[in-house]
Amino acid sequence: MFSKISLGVYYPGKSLFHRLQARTKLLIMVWLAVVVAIANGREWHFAPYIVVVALLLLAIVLSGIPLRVLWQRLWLLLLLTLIGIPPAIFFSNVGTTLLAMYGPWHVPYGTLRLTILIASILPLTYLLLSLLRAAWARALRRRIWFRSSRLLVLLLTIIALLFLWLTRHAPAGGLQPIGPIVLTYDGVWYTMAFFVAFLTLYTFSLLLTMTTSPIALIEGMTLLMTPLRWLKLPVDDFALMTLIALRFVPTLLEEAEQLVKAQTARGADLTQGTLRERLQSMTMLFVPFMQATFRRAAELATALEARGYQSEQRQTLLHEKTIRWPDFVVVVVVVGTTLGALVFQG
Amino acid sequence: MIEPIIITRHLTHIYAPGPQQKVALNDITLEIERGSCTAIIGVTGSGKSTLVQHFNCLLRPTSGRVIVNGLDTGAAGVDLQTLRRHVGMLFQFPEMQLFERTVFADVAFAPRRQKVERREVRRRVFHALDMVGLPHEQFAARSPFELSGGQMRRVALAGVLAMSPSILILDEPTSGLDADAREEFYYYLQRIKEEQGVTIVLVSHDMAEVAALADWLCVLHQGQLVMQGPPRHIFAHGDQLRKWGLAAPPLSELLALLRQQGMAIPAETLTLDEAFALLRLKLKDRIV
Repeated sequence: MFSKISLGVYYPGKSLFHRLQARTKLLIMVWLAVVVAIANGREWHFAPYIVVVALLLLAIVLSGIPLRVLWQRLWLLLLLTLIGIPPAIFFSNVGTTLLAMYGPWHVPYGTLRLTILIASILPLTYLLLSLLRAAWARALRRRIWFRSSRLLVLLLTIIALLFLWLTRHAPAGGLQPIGPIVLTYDGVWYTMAFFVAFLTLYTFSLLLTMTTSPIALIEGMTLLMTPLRWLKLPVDDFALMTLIALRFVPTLLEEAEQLVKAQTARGADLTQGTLRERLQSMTMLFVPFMQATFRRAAELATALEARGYQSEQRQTLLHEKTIRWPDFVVVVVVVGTTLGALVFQG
Repeated sequence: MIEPIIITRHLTHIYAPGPQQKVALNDITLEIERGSCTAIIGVTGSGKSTLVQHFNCLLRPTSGRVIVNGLDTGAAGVDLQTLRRHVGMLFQFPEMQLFERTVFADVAFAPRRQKVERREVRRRVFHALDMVGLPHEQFAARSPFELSGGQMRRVALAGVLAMSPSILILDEPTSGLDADAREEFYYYLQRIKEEQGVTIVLVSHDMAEVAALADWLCVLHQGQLVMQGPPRHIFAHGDQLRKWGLAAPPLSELLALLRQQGMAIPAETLTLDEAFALLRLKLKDRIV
């Protein structure tokens, strides 16, 4: 069950993107975030966004990661953002310049009530299905989607009933205004800017973690944080902590999976039983899991000390090497194009 | 002919189907008899744990069938709760799964979940604790976390026994225990086998350990069932076992060496007593 969780795990390869130094990629990402933030302030200047998206597409091509693999990790987020776009566009009342306006519509209460009544019949039959004792109804109940959607359906029914009850005194001929739905220039621009920025930065960070091994990534971060050493901040300790945290994600996932299996074998099924039983099933996962994690951390600390690890001294790096010409070329191209797009007056 | 309690037919399991697939089990067909004690032997990564996880439907076969207690686990709408009630399973390092404040509550978890009546829960927990050599007067009220490693493991075993399963699956039950705790664990397991009449399936990589308990061995190698039979028969093939990264018990190895030196020792000698009797006979011959 946990194998389906993707954490942007390293995808080995030898592409140009793989060969770039981690700090180059990190710097580019920070730079892109800055560019996108600046571009946000200038309305209806699409040039910086087009350039950033183009750079991202180029990066995807250069990284040599199959689109299918990338898609697997993107689709859920993409879907969620797409669902989020309409409410963000229609209900954000920023700015005054109107782009379009729909409504308001005046609907008689009678029609409205009829619509809601018809619409609530469906969830009601659905709920009644879950009470039936017939064999086929019971087989249907065992489906996971049926059980998980029950709460939502119940909520919908309650809302419908509430509406009917609250409007019981209104005359059937009375008009209920709906809307208006307002579309402003500012609203459209900010929504677009936000979602493009969000998606590109997310995809880019995904590319970064997929083309850089965790160790190289941490080393790159350590190098970038070198100035903080002058402030007597424990940069190396931070690097080691992050590295260990990353390293143990798969191990802990495996352990958790094993634990889930062990407790399931004892009858603690998270997907079945009353609410109280499910909560209890959660504790029987968390208590042993926390215990195991703490024990592992203590053992790891002992092991580090036994091997003579000292946090006072400066560590040498295994993966990060000197910056070579591809890094320079990439930085120059990225900074050049984005700066050009920012300055460009369309 | 006793009817088998677990049957697998051409069982194949593939992890992560696709380009990077890993075949964990390859066409396994075996039968486990009711009331027997079967050991599944193989080196790390040979697929033993994967195999036994099919027996209580924690994993489902990629292809092939698994029939447990007359129930086809691949069939649609199979009642997993009932199946898992019949098949108790103890994982590696089972002391990790303890979570309650007292030993009693932890052992009582499974029967309480099964809506067993209160007095019956009490009876079952006490019986299970006594069964694994943790007298309930002494241990029931204690915290499981203050016990020793071997005792914690036996609490976990009691937790499975309290479900009163008809099949008991143990995945490397003694790994990480010292010799004494290990011997103790097997002593109580033997007792459970004799008194409860449950079918036991043991997973191990150590043959010497299971030799005394198991009456049937299945050897797995890279996901394939390469050999099965009674221990006597398996241990007689020391050379082959070594090829699979396994070792016959020391006694069988010693007898094999003696055989190589030219002593006429039957290949089926298994226990220390048998070997002793045989050697004494030989010595008498020499003296006379």
